[in-house]
Amino acid sequence: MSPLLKDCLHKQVLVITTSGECILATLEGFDKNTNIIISDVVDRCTLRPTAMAQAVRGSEIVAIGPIDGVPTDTVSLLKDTKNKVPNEHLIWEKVYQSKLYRH
Amino acid sequence: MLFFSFFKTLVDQEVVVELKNDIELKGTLKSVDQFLNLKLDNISCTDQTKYPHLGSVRNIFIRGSTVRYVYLNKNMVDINLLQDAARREAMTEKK
Repeated sequence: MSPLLKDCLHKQVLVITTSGECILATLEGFDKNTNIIISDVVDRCTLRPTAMAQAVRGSEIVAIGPIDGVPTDTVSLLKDTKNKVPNEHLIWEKVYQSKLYRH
Repeated sequence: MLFFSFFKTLVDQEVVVELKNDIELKGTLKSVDQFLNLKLDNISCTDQTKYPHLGSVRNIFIRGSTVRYVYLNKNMVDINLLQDAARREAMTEKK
């Protein structure tokens, strides 16, 4: 058990996921791979409850922080962490066509 | 293990962490583990108006795999010590 999350246990936390979602929930458990179990799940962006309990895979997690006070304002979705290049295939097409690539 | 040890020497210093979703967080580095997960205390977002999500969060656990950069102050790093450690690490790998 990674000890870094120990002091967040059974507390209200804010979880940011790799898809840019923000989740408010109570942290019920976690493991070495930062897989977590959370309960009383509320979407931070809309402040609507989404689930009684939920498991989130560690690879989907960006950050977890305990919060003090319940936020009342809605916020927008965050950027995801995928770091995608738009229209990447067009760039590679140009690379293939360039003389630099052939020699 | 070099970077793990390196980050351990930076504990209790103020760093800026840039995540892969472009959020920049300034805070005191509180702990690191073997996956380079970080724990920051007293965080503040560099661009608070753009990211109000972390307004009520003071301490945060960041998963190491989502960190893009950790910005350090120049005087936080003892370069000679780091070079030494890197050489020692390379030696042990050869054996």
